[in-house]
Amino acid sequence: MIYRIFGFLLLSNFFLQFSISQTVLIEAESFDDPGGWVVDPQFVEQMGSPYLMAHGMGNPVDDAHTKFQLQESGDYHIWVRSKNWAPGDWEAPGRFQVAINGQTLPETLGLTPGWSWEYAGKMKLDDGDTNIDLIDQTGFNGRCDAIFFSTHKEAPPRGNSELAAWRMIESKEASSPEESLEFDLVVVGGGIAGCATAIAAAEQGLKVALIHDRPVLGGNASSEIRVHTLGIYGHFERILKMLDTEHYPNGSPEAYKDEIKRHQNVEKYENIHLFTNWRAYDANTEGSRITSVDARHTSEGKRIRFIAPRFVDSTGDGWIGYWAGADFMYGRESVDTYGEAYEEWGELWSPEEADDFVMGSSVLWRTVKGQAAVDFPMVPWAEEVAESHEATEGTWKWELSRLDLHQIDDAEEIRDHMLKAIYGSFANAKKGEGTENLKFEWISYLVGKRESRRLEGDYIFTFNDVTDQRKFPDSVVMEIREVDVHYQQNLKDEDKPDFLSEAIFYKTPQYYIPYRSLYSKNIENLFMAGRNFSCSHIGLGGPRVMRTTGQMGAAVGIAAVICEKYGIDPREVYTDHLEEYMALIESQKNYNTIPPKK
Amino acid sequence: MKSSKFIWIALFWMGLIGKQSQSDPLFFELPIQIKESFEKSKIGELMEEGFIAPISIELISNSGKPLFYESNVKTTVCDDEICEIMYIKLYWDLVGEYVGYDSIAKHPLTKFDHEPFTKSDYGRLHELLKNDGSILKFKQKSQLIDKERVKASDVVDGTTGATLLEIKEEVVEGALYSSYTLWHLAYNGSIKNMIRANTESMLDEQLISHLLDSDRSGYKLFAFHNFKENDFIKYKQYWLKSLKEDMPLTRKYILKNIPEKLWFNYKVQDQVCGLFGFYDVNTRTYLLSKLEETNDVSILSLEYVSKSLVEMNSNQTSQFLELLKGSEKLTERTKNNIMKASENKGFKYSYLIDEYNFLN
Repeated sequence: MIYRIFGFLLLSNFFLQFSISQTVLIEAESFDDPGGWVVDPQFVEQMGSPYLMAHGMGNPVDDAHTKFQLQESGDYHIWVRSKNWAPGDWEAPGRFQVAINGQTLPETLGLTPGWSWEYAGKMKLDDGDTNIDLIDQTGFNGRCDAIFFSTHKEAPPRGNSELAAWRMIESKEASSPEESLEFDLVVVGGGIAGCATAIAAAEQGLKVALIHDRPVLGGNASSEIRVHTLGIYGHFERILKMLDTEHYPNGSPEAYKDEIKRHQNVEKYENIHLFTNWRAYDANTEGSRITSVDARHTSEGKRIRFIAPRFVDSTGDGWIGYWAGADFMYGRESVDTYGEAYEEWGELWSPEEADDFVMGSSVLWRTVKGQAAVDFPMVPWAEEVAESHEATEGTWKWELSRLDLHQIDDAEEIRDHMLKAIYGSFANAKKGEGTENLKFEWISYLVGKRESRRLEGDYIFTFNDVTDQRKFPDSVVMEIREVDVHYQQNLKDEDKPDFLSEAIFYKTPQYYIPYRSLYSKNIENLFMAGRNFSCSHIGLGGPRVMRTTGQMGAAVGIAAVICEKYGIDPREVYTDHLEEYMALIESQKNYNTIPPKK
Repeated sequence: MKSSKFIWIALFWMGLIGKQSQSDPLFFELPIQIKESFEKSKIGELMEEGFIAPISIELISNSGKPLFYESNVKTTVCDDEICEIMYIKLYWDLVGEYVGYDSIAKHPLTKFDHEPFTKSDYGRLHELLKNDGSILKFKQKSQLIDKERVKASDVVDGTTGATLLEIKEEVVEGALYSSYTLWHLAYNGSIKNMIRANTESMLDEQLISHLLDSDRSGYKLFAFHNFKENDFIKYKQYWLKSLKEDMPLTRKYILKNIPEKLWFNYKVQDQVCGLFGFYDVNTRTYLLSKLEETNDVSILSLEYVSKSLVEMNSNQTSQFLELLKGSEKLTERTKNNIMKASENKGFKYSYLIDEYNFLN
């Protein structure tokens, strides 16, 4: 208790100092013009905020610019929250500077390991219009979270919880969102599963909110990550054909074409209310029910409370369930937990003792041959990861899972590790012959995750359901795809790069997933669709691909309709209305209704 | 070096029409000179789609000492319409890993247009079969050909133009289905399980020692998998050596299975932790977690680990500092190592030590 009081006094003193100073906090993601910088909201839960990143693939990006009204003239100290993402005995890769009213501050930023406030300098500023520019020096992923002006020379707090409290005060933010909206169904996550849920529910008349933290739909299938969709359509060919992709090579720009199709199809439903660039940040509960989900615009900072009788967690990482207190799983179960041995593959398939060697995350990339030779800079900070590996393109095998890295908590480090692997391997390739004209065409800056939290449902789908080809009274998803489980190559050979994986295939005839794997066992009004459905680690190996997760989404959307019709929770669809539900699922094959146009 | 010698001998004996007589196999990765006097004993049979008859898996031994396994395979290689018969002998080591193949006298390997394999084709086939991550693993037979590009006049296995580019880079040109059939035979799970079960049934002190003395990482892991509790005491020097030198998968297995009565011996902890600097990133994390779960950790072990503090990554650093925080006593050297790490400008996570305020 005494520590709490002491902590409170310290924090109060800290805020008191700020309260008697003139201060302004500018969030970088809300800049008027981000120039060539990109908004990165992937790691908000870990580092506190979306941020701007200079993802120039080695070429400095255009300046980001914004303007604000300074209330009072004075001598202002300026801090920038940034991070050296590849610290070591070399120049930091993501260096940048700040200019205020056209005057560039002398301090180079992006030099400190870990997110922290770097002191940029002191300036005399007049009240009125004040301009800020972020000037990228390298093109190698410099990052800026926020800029803070204060007449008092005291840096804002560094630790996450103190920083969050301080931020709320600085931005004068109320504890709950300014606006509330009501829907029949709130779907969080606009990947293929979330989109399929929204369409299936909307076609039956539900008013659906589809919340997605990116500007484009598709998740791993989007043009931002570019993984092709695999799996079969099951009962939902018509819906999934509106959303899926061709079987182009992973990383192909052909993803854009399918993305346009996807957007046109989702946007034609007038009862799907699309909230792109909105990231959910909390789920409010009463007892074991979710009452609302709060989301924030990724660049403008506005907040909305989404109220509905039922919610769908298609976030991939199971965030809604996590915030609501849903039971969840993470990691590889021991081989005996569900009896999931694949004898000849032993530990690589399923360990004797549970561990956290989940399937890893990928960052895809491509190069292109230009008309003329192009130099690529030295990247000494990438060598510790790439070592002597040479490559000119990425595949699904570019994947990272490590015992010390959590796929959610350490996602930024995973992404950055992959960036080092990519830049370093390409730099090595450029030293050889025949690569003179090669340059980067595209590198994703989004982590393409395969596995993280899995929310626990009334049924946990496992490998045994595949090997036994078990049929269920509530089989709503079917698949013929192999069970495909990955492991890191360096587990068998330490000399292999740590960012490359290998796959183990278990070929199988058709298998089925029951509806009971698609709603939470302890949060009464929560569905899940996507890779965070209720399954074991090995169980996820087959149906984690996007046509299969799309099937889950469509099945959940239709279940939500039954729930709405009878005013019931997801579980009761199984216990009380299964016949009607399954008939509706079956009818999807012959569903010809043309959805209403806007 | 040894394997390249065998490859050279193999290439020397290999003509454009394959083997003419009994001799060393074309490709054989084990450091064993095969002799006529070796004993053969059948351990089982396997019948799969395409086989003309069940194939026998045989154990090859020398004076009762098991050496490797082999099988004479006679199988059809088919596309949708045409089938040919392929004769080949495959070799696996004592734990079921592919180690080589041989052609059968008077039955050289051929492509689908009846052209015999060239010298480089034979070599390429071995390279393909050695690659346990081959793309062939991911393909159904029906996915091997880009059907849109097959012309009516093409001979099936010769339609290399239609072979999907990603596959073409790995297989023997013009022998797509042969490559596919053989790869899936070399990595056949039933054969591997049969071999491992047989080797396991023969395990005695002599064979365990043989496996542990081998430089094949699969042999050592297999031996550790079959350790009885007392074997960890008996073969301590072997598993300590493997911890230092072997693949991460083996290290993790050893750390997980060290019996408690050994692990709670400070001297053993010190020996294991003294090797921390040799470990890969995953083994380090696994060991740190094991130390976290151990109530009674030797302070000397913590000192040994602290020497590598500057090589730890972010989460490992936090994990180790947490471990130190929970320790009642630290050696002066440990404190000194932390101090040095804190002041080391090359240590990227020194700020974590400051955040812990550990030295105060």
